[in-house]
Amino acid sequence: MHARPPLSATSLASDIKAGRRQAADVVADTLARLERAANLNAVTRLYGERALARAAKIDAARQAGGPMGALCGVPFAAKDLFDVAGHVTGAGSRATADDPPADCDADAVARLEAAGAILVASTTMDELAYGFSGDNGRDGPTRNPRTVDAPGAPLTPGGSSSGSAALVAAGVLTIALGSDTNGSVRVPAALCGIAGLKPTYGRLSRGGVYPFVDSLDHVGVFAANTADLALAYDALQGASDRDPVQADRAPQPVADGLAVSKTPSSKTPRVKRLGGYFSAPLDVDVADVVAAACAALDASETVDLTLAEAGRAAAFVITNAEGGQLHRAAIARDPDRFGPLVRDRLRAGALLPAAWVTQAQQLRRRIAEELARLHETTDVLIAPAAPCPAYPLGADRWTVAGRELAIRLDIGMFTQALTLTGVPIAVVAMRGARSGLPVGVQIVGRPFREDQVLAAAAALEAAGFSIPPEAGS
Amino acid sequence: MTDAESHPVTQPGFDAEAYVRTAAPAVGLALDADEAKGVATQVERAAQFASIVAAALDDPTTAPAPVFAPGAIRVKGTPP
Repeated sequence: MHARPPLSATSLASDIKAGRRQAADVVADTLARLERAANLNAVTRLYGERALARAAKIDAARQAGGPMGALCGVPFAAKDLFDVAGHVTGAGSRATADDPPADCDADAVARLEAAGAILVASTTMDELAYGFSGDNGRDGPTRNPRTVDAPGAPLTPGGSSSGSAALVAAGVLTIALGSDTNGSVRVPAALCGIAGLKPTYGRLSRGGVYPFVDSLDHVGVFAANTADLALAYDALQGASDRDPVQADRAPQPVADGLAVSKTPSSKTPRVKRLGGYFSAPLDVDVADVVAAACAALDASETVDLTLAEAGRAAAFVITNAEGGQLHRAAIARDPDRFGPLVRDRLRAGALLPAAWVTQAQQLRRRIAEELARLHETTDVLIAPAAPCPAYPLGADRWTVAGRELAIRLDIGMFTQALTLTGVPIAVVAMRGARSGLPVGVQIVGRPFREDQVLAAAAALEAAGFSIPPEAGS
Repeated sequence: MTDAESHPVTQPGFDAEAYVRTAAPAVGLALDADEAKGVATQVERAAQFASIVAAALDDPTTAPAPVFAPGAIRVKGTPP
């Protein structure tokens, strides 16, 4: 029984609801898988006792004929920055070691569990969410499961939500929580070859999530397929008084409509391609996969978001300044608790002139206006998620299409360019023909039109943008 | 010359290390000489990005977006 690979979250919940599987068995199986996946270095903490107790309650409720949630019995993990009651929220940093334990779960964790899902683990991340590399001075690097047994240097899973993405790609879990400030869901989804969603800024509550850049932080989610992604996204919606910037909007469920829209109809989203800044540098595989996505969605027209490069630069400045201010007092008090990958960047951020930050905020308004104009004649836009597939862990420089990139930063150059706009963006992936590695595309929608974004993602999935999870764990 | 190089946010000869040494006490940071050098490297990088932003902003009266509300951003010329 324990050798049985995980199915989708949808089918797993269906099996448990029907009594074909016990939630307790599924959780025990998942905990064993997590142990066997230790080579990925994707887990910071297991919640075996809590998960088994919750599974027993779900099994008892089923036997008693009680209500069963859409995700009943589905194990999931959460990035190390989501609060878990009774535990210190690590955020991948020694700087948090003396923080008090969380007195309750993060809203996102609580919402998934209210739908029947079961938290089994917290997962590795770039320190304080400040990075795309999957490397961490406290926990060590997380490995990309798509390549973990391949010869040569291990490759990055991307970050900062590295562990969550790696566990879904490895087939250990069907869904996992991440966060996305500049691409921390989108980059690892692309490099690990799974589906990811960064909803509209303000759509999901960030209550109980360790902050990084308040004006850019989003809760996001990973899944092995778009149906599971939609199911998890629906469960995550709902108002909370714990996030002062959450939008005042009723939930807009998308999963049911997604099943319908898989058949071509007049509701099929209109699609165009983002060119200009998003055209280079592109690895050959990335160029081919983006072209394939546009062909599959009949996106024959290319449009230019002329402020994309400036938008990326402004996101960099705002991130640096807000992140630096958030940690300024702690880093002044005890700098050695901050790892070398973040310490000097955070100090610099605390010192940026107000003129630079204010200009970046002005630019934010401008790029949001420009993207809104583009969306007047299209529903979604297609762009690469990263300039190249996964690169070797620990690399600082990497050459893509003849251009040497500061790869720890530049792997996020295409996600960071869109992050100021706050629009919903999904990522789906397929393998590149040359490298064999996953390559992701961004599907960029209008604010609060996650339905259209996920409809386009499902259409791409049907056209081959899907990589089965690894079965080795 | 790139746009960022033609619209620098700093004056020629800007000494990031001297800036860091001078400004750090203002925000409560105590840095030794080696630390100031490392931080200055990061300030220089931020200056490059800030210059790209400055080059793209052709209207200094553009309202900033300090409180961001997705869906509430109006395209210029569109009535509320």
